[in-house]
Amino acid sequence: MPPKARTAAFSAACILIVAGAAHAATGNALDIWATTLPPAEDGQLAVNQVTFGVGGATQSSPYFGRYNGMPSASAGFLGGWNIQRRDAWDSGTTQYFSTIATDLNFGFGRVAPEADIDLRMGEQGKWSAFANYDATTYVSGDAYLTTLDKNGILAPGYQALLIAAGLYFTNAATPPPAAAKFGAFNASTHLATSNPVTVYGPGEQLSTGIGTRRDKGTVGASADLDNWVVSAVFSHEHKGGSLEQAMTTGGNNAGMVTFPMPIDYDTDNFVASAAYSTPDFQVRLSYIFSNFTDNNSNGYAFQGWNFAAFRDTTVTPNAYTSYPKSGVYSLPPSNQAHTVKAEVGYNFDPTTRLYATFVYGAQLQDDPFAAATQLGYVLTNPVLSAQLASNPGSLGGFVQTFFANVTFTARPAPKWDFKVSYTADARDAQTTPMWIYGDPTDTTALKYREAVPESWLKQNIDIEAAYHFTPSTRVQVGYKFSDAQRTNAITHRTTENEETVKLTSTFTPAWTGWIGFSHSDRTASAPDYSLWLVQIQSDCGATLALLGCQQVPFYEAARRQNAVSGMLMGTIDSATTLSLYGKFSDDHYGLPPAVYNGVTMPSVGVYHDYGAQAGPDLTHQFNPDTEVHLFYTFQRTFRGMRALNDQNQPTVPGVFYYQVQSTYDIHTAGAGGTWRASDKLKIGLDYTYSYGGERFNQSGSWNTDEAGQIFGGDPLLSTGSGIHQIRLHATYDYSPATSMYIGYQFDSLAMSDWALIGPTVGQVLSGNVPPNYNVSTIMAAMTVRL
Amino acid sequence: MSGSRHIRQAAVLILLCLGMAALPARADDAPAGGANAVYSPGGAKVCMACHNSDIEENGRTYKEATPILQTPHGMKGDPHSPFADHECETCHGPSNAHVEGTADKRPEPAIVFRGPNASPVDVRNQVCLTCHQNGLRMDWAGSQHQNNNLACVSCHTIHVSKDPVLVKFTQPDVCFRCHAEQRALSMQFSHHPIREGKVVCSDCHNPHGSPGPKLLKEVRVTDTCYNCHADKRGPFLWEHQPVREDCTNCHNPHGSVNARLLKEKVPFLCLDCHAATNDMGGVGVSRLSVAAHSSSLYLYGDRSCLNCHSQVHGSNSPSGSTFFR
Repeated sequence: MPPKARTAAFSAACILIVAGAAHAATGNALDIWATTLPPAEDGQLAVNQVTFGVGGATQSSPYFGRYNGMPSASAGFLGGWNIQRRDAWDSGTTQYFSTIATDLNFGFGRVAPEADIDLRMGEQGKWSAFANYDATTYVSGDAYLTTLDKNGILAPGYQALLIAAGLYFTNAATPPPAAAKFGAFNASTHLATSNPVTVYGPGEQLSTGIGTRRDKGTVGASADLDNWVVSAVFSHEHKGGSLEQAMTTGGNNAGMVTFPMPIDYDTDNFVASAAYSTPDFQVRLSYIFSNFTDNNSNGYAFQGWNFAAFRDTTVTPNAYTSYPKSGVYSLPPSNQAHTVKAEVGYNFDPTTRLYATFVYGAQLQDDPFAAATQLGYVLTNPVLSAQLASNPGSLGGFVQTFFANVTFTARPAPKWDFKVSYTADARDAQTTPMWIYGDPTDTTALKYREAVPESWLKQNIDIEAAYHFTPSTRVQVGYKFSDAQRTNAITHRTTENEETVKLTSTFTPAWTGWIGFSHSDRTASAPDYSLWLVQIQSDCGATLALLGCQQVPFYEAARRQNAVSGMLMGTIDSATTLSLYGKFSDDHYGLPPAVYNGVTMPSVGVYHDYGAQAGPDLTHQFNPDTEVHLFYTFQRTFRGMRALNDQNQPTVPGVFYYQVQSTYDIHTAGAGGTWRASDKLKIGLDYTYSYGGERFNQSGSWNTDEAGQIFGGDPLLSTGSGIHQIRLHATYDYSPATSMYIGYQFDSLAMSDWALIGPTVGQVLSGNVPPNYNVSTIMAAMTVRL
Repeated sequence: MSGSRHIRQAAVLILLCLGMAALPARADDAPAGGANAVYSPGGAKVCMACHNSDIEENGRTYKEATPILQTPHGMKGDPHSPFADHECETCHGPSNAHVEGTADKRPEPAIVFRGPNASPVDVRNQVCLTCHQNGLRMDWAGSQHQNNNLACVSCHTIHVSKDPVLVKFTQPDVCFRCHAEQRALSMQFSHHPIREGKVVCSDCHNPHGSPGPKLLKEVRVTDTCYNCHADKRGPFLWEHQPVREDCTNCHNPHGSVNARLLKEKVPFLCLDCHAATNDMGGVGVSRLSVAAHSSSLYLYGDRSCLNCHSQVHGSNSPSGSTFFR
């Protein structure tokens, strides 16, 4: 199916539009499709009005329509409302009703893909009830190229895919005939392609749209009983569609296939709570139940994905040159979670308070395991099939979580504030560790691995003290000690000491700001690499001799962190406000040395990262009818890591290690203004630009030079994406009861990413090409005030 | 120091603090408006006689106040509502002097919530906390926003028919006034649909205070994410530990230059922890190092490591120990 041609599908009838920016809040404003209600003006959201209109977009782009329900060039109707009714304030009665609906969009090839309808009613002080419907669509692509469809069926052009000499897989129950048209995996790219002697032809692969839709309904009610409020809320969400997915069909760089993973989920949540509150004492007890069901994991035709692989014994009767992983592709298992939560707060006096939270959670999962393999030679081998039969049928997964927090705040003396807090967070994996037979390694044995869940206990104590030098100037110092103990982890224990200082002040009646600094040191216990030994024994060897298995995850590693941040906000004059914000955080990781063949060497992993953000935000009012807003934000994130090049050459400088330093920069800028041209006409113009880019710096010798490769060489190319958005809109008040909105928006995305560049013709690569687009949207709406 | 010793020290501190609770209140806790402040005998109707439209006075514009009568705060029939008591002066304090004053010599109400003459933040917040210290606001004392000297009215607008911060499609504008970093991230190609109006800040955060990290609604990052992404909750047969610990080990929930909200581009994200792990084949060559993956398309093309290790959040397949299945 070829990509949709670009069409200009304007509606010849009315063209109206939506809410533009809120009072020149450029860049803050929602997407043009986000809502069909007028914006908040001067902090006030208009109520008791209905909006309806028509709109259209000029270009089909799944990436433009990713979240706004409009991936195709089309036109349609849109609408929404914001209505509330309430008894007169002094009538003595308190009945009320309110409803808000947004994105009631029809046409555009979809039915209300982003609709949100909310209804609330009650008698204030006695009872309340609400209902809500919310739809969310996600579009990933409209031309995703796959060898397999959502049901696991090979593309029409393929009757089998050749994995290795004499080994292939097919959806059929029997091997394909000798004359069947085979797909194969390119020896260089390892991607599926059509028969090697034929160039890939149209129709031989599948092109499918990828995306999901969530439909969620929520109902709830509450009752006020003197100082008690009891409430219950229930929600049900269905999520359906597909997501882009890929997998290998064999080991050792055997074939990779892309496929649309089926999504068919139901999630139910129930919350019941009882709260008691007086001005000095509050208690709230809650029970939360969450049930997730994957409708594909039970009863779906293939129970996930099945690949029936066959080995042509006439070609290779006994020897296996690869380690096929053909088998069922598992999907997320259905699971449940129960949570009980208790909160209590008590005011000893207006400035002295104790607050505590206790949370207990239980997570359960016991879906039947997917089949480990469907390989014929395994199923028919008495030894291997017996090994499979010894596997448990399901996990019996059970994880408990505990959380406790006690916080005490006080003002023990004039000008002093004090806070002390203790927090404990524990994960207790009660799932029984089990040995599982899985991947076949050869004709005589399946891989036997142990699944060991992780548990932990994390505690911290936080102490803060603040002194008010003046009523408007306050300095705060803090100390925090953290202790984390983990089982079945590389690092069994980390401790961290953090010191903070913060100054807050209103310098003048017009200016206020703060600046803070923090320093922390985290120490880690000696790494225990036996976890690798247990879980991936055959990879690391019995003695952990290979350097490759000696690495500490960065979130468990020793670390020194320094951070400084600050903000300044104020008014330059009566018509101009300005805010400035800046932050810098720097981490250095202490990686423990590793030992290889008796030689101590630096280990690998992240050794340094930092982040920086800064930017101004300015609003100026030229006169009561004209306002402009400008902003710019800069962000940089850096991460440096040391990785292993080839551990078989530990003494060759530059060959053993290589370093990659990644720098991510984001620039976001916006400018916008509103102008009230007359009592009836208001015009707005907004422009935003956001750029995100990555640069790579590498050192050390490495290469990926295979013939025809496009990524070979050093260093890697930079990547980047730039998004422009321009919006022009106008509001005209026909009468006190009616207004018309009209607007035009232009959105543009340009992205360069070497990961999205396809190799050569004939390769079945997914359709994730650079998602560039240029889309014009014209919309118009009429608002009627009730 | 051992963890248990720190815990004992914390317990001592808590006991000391409880003892401090017996100390007298601060001198600046005196009633607003002064000891001689009296309530207006006319109540809200007197206030509304002037504040039923915008007022221009002494170079300032005072917005119309009557929209509050369309909100829960203005319901006289609810005994919990401020209007059931002293009406406007329940929040603004006894302000008869303000009512009796003249245009050229009018004192402010006892408690002023906005403008250059706004009352101290603690005074303003105490008005709200008298009724609203329950529910989501139980952990306000000592919270990040309170420490940053934020007043309730810094985010909330009371004298309007509908508070914009309480409405899904206008809430982000309020938060982005200060949180420019998150605004910038939300505008990246990969983002949660905040600017599309489908996800709002309060879906994940409780700005009034939380015992969890980063003012999250739930006590853990993972629990917050599972509210919408329960398919990642498990537990799974084969766990991926950084996923169990904290979703932000790999993702930036506000937005990213990388696909799928990833903090770092794959394969470098994976190499942060797996820079040296050997391959199942046991051939002695580090598989996940760049050189050993002989096909650069595998390592850099399309989904990179996730081309094959696609069950990265955890697998429930017996053959999924390396997240292939």
